[in-house]
Amino acid sequence: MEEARKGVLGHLKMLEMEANNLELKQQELRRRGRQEELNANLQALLSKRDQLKAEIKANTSLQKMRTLLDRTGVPYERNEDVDNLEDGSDNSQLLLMMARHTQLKDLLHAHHLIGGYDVLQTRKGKGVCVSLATAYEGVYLETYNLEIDLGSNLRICRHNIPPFIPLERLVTQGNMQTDIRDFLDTLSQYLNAYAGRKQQLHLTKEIHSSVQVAESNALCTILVLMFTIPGEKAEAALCTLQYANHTQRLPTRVNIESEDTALVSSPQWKKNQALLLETPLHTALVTMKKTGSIA
Amino acid sequence: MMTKLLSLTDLSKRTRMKKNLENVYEAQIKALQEEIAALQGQQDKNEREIAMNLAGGRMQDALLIMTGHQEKEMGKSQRDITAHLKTEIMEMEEDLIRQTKINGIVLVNCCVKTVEKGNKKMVQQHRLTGHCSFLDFQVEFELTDVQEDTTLVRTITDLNIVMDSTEFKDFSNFVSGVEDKRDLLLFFRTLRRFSDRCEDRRRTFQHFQEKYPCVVSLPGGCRAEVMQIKSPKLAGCALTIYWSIEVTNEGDITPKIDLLTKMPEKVLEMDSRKVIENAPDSFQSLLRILGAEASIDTVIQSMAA
Repeated sequence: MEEARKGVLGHLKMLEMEANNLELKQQELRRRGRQEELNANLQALLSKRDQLKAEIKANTSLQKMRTLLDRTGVPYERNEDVDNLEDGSDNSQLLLMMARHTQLKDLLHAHHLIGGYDVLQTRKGKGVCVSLATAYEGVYLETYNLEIDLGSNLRICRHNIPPFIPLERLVTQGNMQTDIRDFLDTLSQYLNAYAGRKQQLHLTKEIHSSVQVAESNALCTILVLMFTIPGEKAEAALCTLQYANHTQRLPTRVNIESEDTALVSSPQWKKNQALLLETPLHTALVTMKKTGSIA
Repeated sequence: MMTKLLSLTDLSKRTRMKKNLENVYEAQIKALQEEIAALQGQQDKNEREIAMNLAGGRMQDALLIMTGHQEKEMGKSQRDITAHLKTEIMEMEEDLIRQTKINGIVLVNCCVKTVEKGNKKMVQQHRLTGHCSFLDFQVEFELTDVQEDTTLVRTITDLNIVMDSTEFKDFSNFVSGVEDKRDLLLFFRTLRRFSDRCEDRRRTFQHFQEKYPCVVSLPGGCRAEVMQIKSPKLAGCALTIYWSIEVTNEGDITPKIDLLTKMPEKVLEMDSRKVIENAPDSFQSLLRILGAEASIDTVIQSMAA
């Protein structure tokens, strides 16, 4: 009997030990898995850090080269500064080229930003495309395009210039054939003046909802506005602005009418009339509201 | 069955060692993450300080070489990449010549700094130096790009212009006005036309000085507004041509040419028909009929005779 019990107990003990060992082995595996994961993570981060360091180093070298280039012009002779910037001679050449590349990109973009004509060759050199940019009070507005045929005579074959801009007249009476830049400058004047007048009208409608636009034409050279004059009677005044010079953004004539004729000839309104002649419309209206002339 | 028996102390020792190793890994990972964050911050700061356009396949390839990538992993040789980059550079240089010619503006330097960069908004400062014929300029402007629905709204939010030519008072007034209204495009349009008119004046003045060296003098140089005509025979008699180029705030350019006379008292007394007194007005009429060059020629010849 004793022996049988000893056998069973012994067996149970062995099973218990096996179970413990198994659990230990599993814990070991899990731990190892975790370690591998952590290690992998570590390696990835190390790689990322090294990559970042290399990028920063390369970028800094490029910036130094670019600054040198900006200061001195293209260094055709290898001078000390260039030598100090990079280690391998192969890479020095490449670095110089990269710096020049960014410099040219910046200069070309700058030409575009300052309102340049962005001349582009088309049809294998048989034509050119030019862009005329417009802007008003710092806001870039529409861009218009022309495609010019470079035959024995220059000829505009395509464009998106609105019909009320006198393109035809400028072409036939102007100097497109002899001085294309002067021609483009004149056209640009018309387009920018139009864009400016249009923008003033747009801003007026947006900012001054109390002012009614009774009439306006496509070229924005005639504008009829209705003001409400503050007071018990809430009189109305009709203001007509004429822009006879289409290359200008300010009116050449301002006419103010009202049933209250005394008001119209008052010194305040004489001032308003002068203001409207010298100041952009939306800005003039701000002043007129402030002084209480209009509602 | 024989299984390896671990004593309790062995077990806990191993466990502690492994835990330590894990802790070490985790500490290293944390340190690296912090280092990476700092490096990314540094990279961002560097890229804003001097903003460079590195877009495009060629530049990206070149960058890979610069950061140590090998030809094998890129599938392209360094020689090819260099050659392609060179071609692009040449094309851009030709393009720059074309733009310079049609715009009449020479841009020498352009530096860009990123002030703000967000999902839908970017603000950059541009510093340009260059010249339009003999007029040097340094222009700084801040450009704000905002992505609104389908369109990009671009605005100039600050403008600063520095020019050497302070002797042209009218142009200085125009420049101040244009800065206030941030009208970058108007500035360059007007600068070009103004320099063209200055060129007309310089060419005309120089032409006359060469043609009549004994009579004509340019006291302020050929770029100044004044041309003096002195008769070699009649002492004290001088005519002055004032050629000013007026610029309004709206960028309208008007050359104005005036004639002024300086005659000794005796000559004025003899001028019964008031020819000298009326000379400035007569000159204006002459200008309207004959134009600048012919009118000035006429006046010079009358003095030289």
